[in-house]
This record gives sequence, C-alpha cells and structure tokens, in this order.
Amino acid sequence: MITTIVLVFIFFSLTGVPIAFALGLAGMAGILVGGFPMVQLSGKIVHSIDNFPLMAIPLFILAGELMSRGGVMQRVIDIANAIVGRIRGGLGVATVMAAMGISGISGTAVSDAAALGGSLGPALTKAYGRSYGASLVASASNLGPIIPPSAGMILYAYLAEDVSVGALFVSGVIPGVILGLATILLVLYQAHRRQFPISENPFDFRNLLQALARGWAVVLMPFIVIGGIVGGAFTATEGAAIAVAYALVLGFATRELKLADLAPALLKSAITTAIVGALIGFASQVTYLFTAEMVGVAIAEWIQGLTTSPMMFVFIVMVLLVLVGIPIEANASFIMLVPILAPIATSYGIDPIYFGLLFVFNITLGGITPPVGAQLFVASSIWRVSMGEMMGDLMPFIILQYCVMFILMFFPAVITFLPRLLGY
Amino acid sequence: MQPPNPSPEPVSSPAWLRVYDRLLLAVDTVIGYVVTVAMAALAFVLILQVFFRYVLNDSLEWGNDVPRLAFIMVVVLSIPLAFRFNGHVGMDVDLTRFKFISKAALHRFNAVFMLVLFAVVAYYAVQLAGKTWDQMMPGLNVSVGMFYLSLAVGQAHCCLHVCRILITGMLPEHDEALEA
Repeated sequence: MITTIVLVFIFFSLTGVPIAFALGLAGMAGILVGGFPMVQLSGKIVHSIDNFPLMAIPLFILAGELMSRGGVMQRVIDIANAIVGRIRGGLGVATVMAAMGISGISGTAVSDAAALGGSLGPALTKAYGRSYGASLVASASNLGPIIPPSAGMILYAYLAEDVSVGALFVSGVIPGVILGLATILLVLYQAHRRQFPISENPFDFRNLLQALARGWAVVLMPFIVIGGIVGGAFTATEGAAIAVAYALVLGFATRELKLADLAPALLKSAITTAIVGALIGFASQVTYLFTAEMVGVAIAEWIQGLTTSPMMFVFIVMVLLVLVGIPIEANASFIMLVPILAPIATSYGIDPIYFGLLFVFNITLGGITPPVGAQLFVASSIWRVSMGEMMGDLMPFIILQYCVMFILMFFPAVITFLPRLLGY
Repeated sequence: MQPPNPSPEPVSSPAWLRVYDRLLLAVDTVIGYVVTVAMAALAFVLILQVFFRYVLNDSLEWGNDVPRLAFIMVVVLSIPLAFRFNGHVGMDVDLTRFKFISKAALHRFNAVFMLVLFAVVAYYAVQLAGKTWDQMMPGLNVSVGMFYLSLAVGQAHCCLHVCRILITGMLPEHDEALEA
C-alpha cells in the first residue's frame, strides 16, 4: 500500500498535478489498495482543517496584507533609510533593515518581498540595476518566516505537535538577526567591490526622529503581539487577531487604509490560506495511512541503523531539505516531511525547538532557489527579470544564507538560548 | 471586491464555451463574496472574542464556533478560486520536452484524475453532511453538517474548473497579482 501511495504521488506530481491533489490521489489509491472506506477521504479533510491554532495563519497574512495595502509598511522602510544614511551600498543595507522590521509584522516571505519590491523597487533599480535589486529583495524577504511572527512556524508546530508556537517564535529572533547582519555585511562587501553609488541622503538625526515619530506605532506592533504570545498572555491565534485589529486601527488612523482596500485584502488572504489548507486537507489521508502502517517508525529504525549520532541525523535532514526545497514549494515540504521527521528527531533526543527552527530556516531558504522559489516569482515579476538573469547576483546570497544555516546547526545554544531564558 | 479575472479564452472559442466561462465567472464571483464575508467574520469574531476575554473578563458562547465554521468555509470554498489564478503549487517538471507528449493532452490527462478525486470527495462529503445534519455545534445552533456541505460545494466548484481544463486542454494564466 505504501509503495502504491508513493508511486501515485510521484507520478502525478511529475505530470503536473498540483501537489495537494497529487497527495489526494495518492490517499485515494491507498484507500483502494488498503480496503479502507472511501468516506474517510472527505472526513479527514474537514478534521485536519478544523483546528483552532491554524486560524492564526490567515490572520497574520491578513494583518500583513492590510499593513501593505495601507502603505503603513512604508513607514518602517523610511526608518531604515533614515538610520543608514550616506554610505556606499546604503540603500541595500536599508533594504535588509526594512526587511527585518517588516518581518515582525507579516508572517510570510512572499508578502515581505511584495512590500519591499513595491516600495523600494524603483530606487534599487536606479542604484544597482534590476537583477541585483530583485535578488536582494528576494533574499532579504527570507527574514520574514524566520523573525516572528511566521506562518511556517505555526504550520510546523501544528504538524510536529511537540513544540509550541511561542517557543518557535522566540527561537527565531537571534538567528533572524544573525542572518540579517550577515546579509548586510555581504551587501557592504559587494558595494565596495562593485563600486555601488553612495546613498544620496546623509545621516540626519532630525530625519531619523521624524521617521520614528511617523513609524513608532508600526514598530511597536511586533513587540505587543509577539510579546503577548511568548509571555503566555494570549494564544497565537488571539495574537494574530490582535495584529489584524492593530493593522486596521493604524491603517484608518493614519488614513492610509481605505474601506475599498478591505475586500481585496480579505479575498487574497483567503485564497493564500486555501492553498496551504488544500495541502493540509488532502495530505491528511496519506498521513493517516503512513501512521497506520508505522512508516515513521520504519524510517526512524532505518536512519538509526545508519547513524546513532544526533548531529549526523540533523545534518542528513538538512541536506535532504536543501534537496527537497529546490523542486518543492515550502508549505508542501512542511506537510510531507514534518510528521515523519519531527518524531524521529525526538527519538534521537534532539531539542524540538532547535530542530523546528532549523527545519523552518532551511525550508524558507528554498524560497530563493529556482525553479519554484516563491520569493523569486514575486521579485522576478515585479522587476520583469527572468530567474536566469538573476542567478549571477542571487547566488552569493543563496550561498551565504545556507552557510549561516549550517553554522547555526553546529551551535544549538544560539537557537535555544532565548527560549530557555523565557522558560520554554 | 474585484471579481476574479476571467479565464483566458481563445478568440475563436465556440459560443457554448463562452457561456460556460460566463457561468464559471459568475460562480467564482458569488463564491468570492461568500469567502470574503467568511474571512471578515473569522477576523471580526476572533477580535471580539479577545476583547471580551481580556477586557470584559467574559467569553462569547459562540466565540469559538463561528470562527471554526468561517475558517473551514474560507479554506474549502477558496480552493477552487485558487484554480482560477493557477495558484496551487506543483513541481516544475516540464514533461512536454518529450516530443510525444503534448501540453493539451497532459493537461487533459491530469484533469480526468482530478475530476475523479473532486467528485469522490464531493459525493462522500454530501453523505457525511446528511449523517451529521442533526448534530449541532456546542455554542451555535448550526449543524456540524455545514462543514461537509461547504466541502461538497467547494469540490463541486473545483469540478467546474477542472472540466474547463478538460475541454480546452489549457490551464488558466498564472496570476502574478496573487503573488504580488
């Protein structure tokens, strides 16, 4: 039965059936071969989606969408620009800093890439060219799912069941800052080597104060929402609801959000959620059959036969995820692999927070690797530049981000320090 | 609300296909409105629930059930809308590089199997809706069968989209606006 499921899934994925429905067809084949009642298929779809913590995903997407449509995110970008001032490659540094700021507002890399590309696109093109601008924005937007809040972390926590969303959120702060700083250093190095222009506006303390006065309320939002979730004051779903309320109040108070923006934001958030929901729903039958046939246990025993070293196991998983992340979209990777790999990691005695963060980090980086990198699609469509044209400028960012991930792998304390400090 | 873009349609498409496209657009638009309202209800009731819980030290009796119903409706009814934008994610393997495989034939082949999947899910969802219709949600006088009914509607709607692929052998244009 398991062979049938795997073969059917691979076959339909290769013929171009969307992964969610390839999983559905594989589940249906498993039911037929295993002699289970077909009614399970519909029942499991509803049961898998009927989950309170999952509701945080559409709400964080909606909050980011409202902030983006209302132009509120521009205020974060203005603060980043005001801090950087007149240095070579200053606009690139400001882009990365803005990405770090926006990451605390939205939950997905795709919305960050769209917000950054929409706001900074023309200036980046003028200063560094289309290809570099697109590559920088696609790479910087990877900070989105690593710095909380993160839809990927919510999905991981739901699928792994042995780690809380709050713990994962906190664990992403230090790695996110490290990744941001590493990207800034790379931008500065490239700016020096390629003689990028010096940014036009010199540092002016009054400019910075003005930008802060306009944008402090936006910057405060992640501290309230994430602080509340991490502090145990409210759940991730409630925190996401507060983020939506905050985005609405801020948008209307600044008069940058209009009533006409609401319906498109709601519809787009719903469709984005449905793409993830379809994966969760249609994968549920396959997950059930894998559990019934104890596939996870068999894989665990096989891997434990190869190595008893937890670090070697993590290394093997990271290499596997790099390979999987190239042809498969992030959410699909989560849904197919977390239920299998997270319990095996636990059986090795690996800290679930450490493993979870590395998992999310790795899958996120897949967003800038061709051919199915979601952030690449956004950047290439905004800049009207092909992925092939971007590769030269993109490659140093890809190499840097994977290097940071493998370095973090060898220093678990960098990931677990903050969660432990806060009692997770 | 902006209605979704109409599907790409060859200039010389027959009259009945144009009628089918108009019907599909009408269904998409109606479902788009339903989904927008459900998404608004999900966000609004959760915000209200947080306000009641943390400001008024009280809890809405239906504060969990309305978001639950709204969330399931949002997901299962939006799945076909993502078809219109060609938004569902897949592997990027181009089998049409092999000369003996044509794009239209491959799309039609996939559409047949997806049609079977959606029809089966819709059929059993209707059965489950019938079986659970007398079970009410704990805090709301609405049947649990609504979950399954929404799934059946969503899957039937998916069938309409897949039928179009089956007829024309063409996928809708990937909508960059959805990404951006």
